[in-house]
Amino acid sequence: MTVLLDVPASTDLVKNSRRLIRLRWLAGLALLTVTLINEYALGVNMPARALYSLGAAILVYNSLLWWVSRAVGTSWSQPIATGQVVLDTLALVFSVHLTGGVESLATHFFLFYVLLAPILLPGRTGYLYVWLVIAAVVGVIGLEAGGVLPHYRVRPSLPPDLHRDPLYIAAKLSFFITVALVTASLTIPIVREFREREQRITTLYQSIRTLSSSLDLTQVLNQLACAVTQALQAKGTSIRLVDETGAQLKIAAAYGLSKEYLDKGPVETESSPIDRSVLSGHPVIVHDVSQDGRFQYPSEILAEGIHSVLCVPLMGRRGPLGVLRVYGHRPDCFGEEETNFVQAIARQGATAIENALAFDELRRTDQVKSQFVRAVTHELRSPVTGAQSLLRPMMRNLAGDLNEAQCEVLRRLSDRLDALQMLIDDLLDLAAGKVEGLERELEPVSLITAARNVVDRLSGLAGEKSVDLCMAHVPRSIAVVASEEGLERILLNLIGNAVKYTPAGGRVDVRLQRRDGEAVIRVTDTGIGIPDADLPHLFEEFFRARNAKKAGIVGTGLGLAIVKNLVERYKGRISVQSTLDKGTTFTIVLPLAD
Amino acid sequence: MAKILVIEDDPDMVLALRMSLEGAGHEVFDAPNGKEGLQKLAETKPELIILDVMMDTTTEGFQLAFQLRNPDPGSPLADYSHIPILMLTALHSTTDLRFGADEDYLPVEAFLDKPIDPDDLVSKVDELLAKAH
Repeated sequence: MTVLLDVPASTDLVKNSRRLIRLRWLAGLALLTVTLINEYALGVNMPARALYSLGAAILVYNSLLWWVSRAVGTSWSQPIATGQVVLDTLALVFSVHLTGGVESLATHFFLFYVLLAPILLPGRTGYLYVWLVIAAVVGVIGLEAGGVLPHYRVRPSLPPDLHRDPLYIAAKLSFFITVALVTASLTIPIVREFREREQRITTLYQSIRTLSSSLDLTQVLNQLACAVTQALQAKGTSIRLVDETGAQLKIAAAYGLSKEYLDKGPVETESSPIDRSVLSGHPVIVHDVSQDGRFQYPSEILAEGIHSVLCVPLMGRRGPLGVLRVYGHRPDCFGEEETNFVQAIARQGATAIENALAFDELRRTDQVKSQFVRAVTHELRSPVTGAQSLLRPMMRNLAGDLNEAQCEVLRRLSDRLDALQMLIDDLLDLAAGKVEGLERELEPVSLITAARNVVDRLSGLAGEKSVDLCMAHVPRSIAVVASEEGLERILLNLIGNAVKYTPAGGRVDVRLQRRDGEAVIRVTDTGIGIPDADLPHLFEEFFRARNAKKAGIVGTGLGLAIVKNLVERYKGRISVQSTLDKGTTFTIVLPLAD
Repeated sequence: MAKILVIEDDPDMVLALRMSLEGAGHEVFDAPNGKEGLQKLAETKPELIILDVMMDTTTEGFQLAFQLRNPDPGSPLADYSHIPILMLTALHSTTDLRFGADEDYLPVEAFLDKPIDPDDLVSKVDELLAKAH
């Protein structure tokens, strides 16, 4: 199971790092300025050269930090922040020493760092830092008191050996240590909670994105279980969905749990009071598994290392879908905040589950529909073709000689059957076309090959009618996203119509080209044309233009409806231009397969 | 004037074929399924076989054609593997199956789509009989 949460380096770390670098310019300059003022204006006795060097050093390492933080990526932001804290702490220690040690006012600046440390340093190192600072201060003061380090008497108004006075030292130190520890114990938990909250919001956001990005139910649920576990730093999460009978909860996804635990057995809602309560909409927290008698498999739970459980319902629009359980390593892992967070995610999860289930249902229905269409194809055609096959030999007198009246009746019978067969073929085309989408994957198909096949097929008919059928294309290859059969059906209907409605001596032109990232198909004929009043209805099912019917040309009125349906499926457009008795041009535009 | 065996489960289609073929002077035998068809094959020793692509099951016609063209060595069918086969199809372009006389996959000489036109049928039959000689 891949770690799906890629929590980026906390943006406040980067921001605060930058702020500190900007402040440090001021700090360095201030140190230099104050030393200058003290040396020349106030005549204070201080180790000016050392202080100037310190000020300069601060400015130097700040420039380095400034340059480095610009040059490297965010993965270095933690080392840079830690580096700043270390360098500044050293600088502070020096400045405390150089400005009088225990008498120095600079010790106050350490408190600023005790506040900053939890924000800049990772995890629990905040506490460690406080103790280091205390040790450093104690160290400087102690070494000065013991004479190991020189003492700089910066404030002449104070007694000369004050830095050796145990009472003074004790008072100063105890105050400093108390303040430092109290400050740390307040800020460190606050910052930590802040971070956790931010982490949770990020998880929630990412979960929502993940959940709405996929209709594959199993994948979505597994990612959800992983995300919840990581956000709460729990042991694991399981998602169980209610089965068809409503009496059992079956595992749909899990993270962080062993196979043995998941296989332990079905959860009967009857015998699980916790699940019954959860399925009615109320989340349940079990603070200590070993002391709760409600579990169905208590020993397995403890063997897995689970000590507390948070159960949250997955509520669909029409009722409960299942239960999401988060497991904790220790007792009392979960409180109100965790419950609210998990419930928020569960709500998104329920929506995703319902969408995935609906899509599955849709796919299944479509499969049933297309199977039905295929069965009907055979069943409907067979009696009609059987009847036609019988009529034809009979009309040739092969069942005995016929008189004129009998011939006429049979001819009409045969025509009606032909019309019925065409209608069935077209209806089934239309139905199959509408089902095609979900069932058949669209892929790049060569438009030129399809057109050539269709033109070949129709060349016989065109020849019989003395209609000129020509095809022209400019680029050598044009590929569109469609299905091979669908594309040929479009061309067959359009070019077939053109030939059908063009009288002898006429011409049908098929032109294929690429334009502005699209494929353009143009079929032009010199046929009977379409009356203006009929143009808006042309693509309606069963519609036939009045002049087509008058000319006695046979048709079902479905051909163009089928074409329009397919063109729309392939995300294209179709348009028509026509002049009565002069001719018609159909233009289809389809997106290229690039 | 040739002996033609029709293997077809639709009796109306059999009558239609009989009318056209007898009208052209041929002798027609028929069987309603593959099993009886093979029996009739041995009895009548026809010069041409007309086979429907779909009978009881969607693949019965295919399977029969394959059997006839690729008989097990030593089986009596081996004697008849040279007889030309005309296959009747009832296809709609929206189904997935497409046909062509493919040497390996579907070894038949020719196809005819339903409904059967008497002239088309007779001329195809004559063509196949002529080729066989």
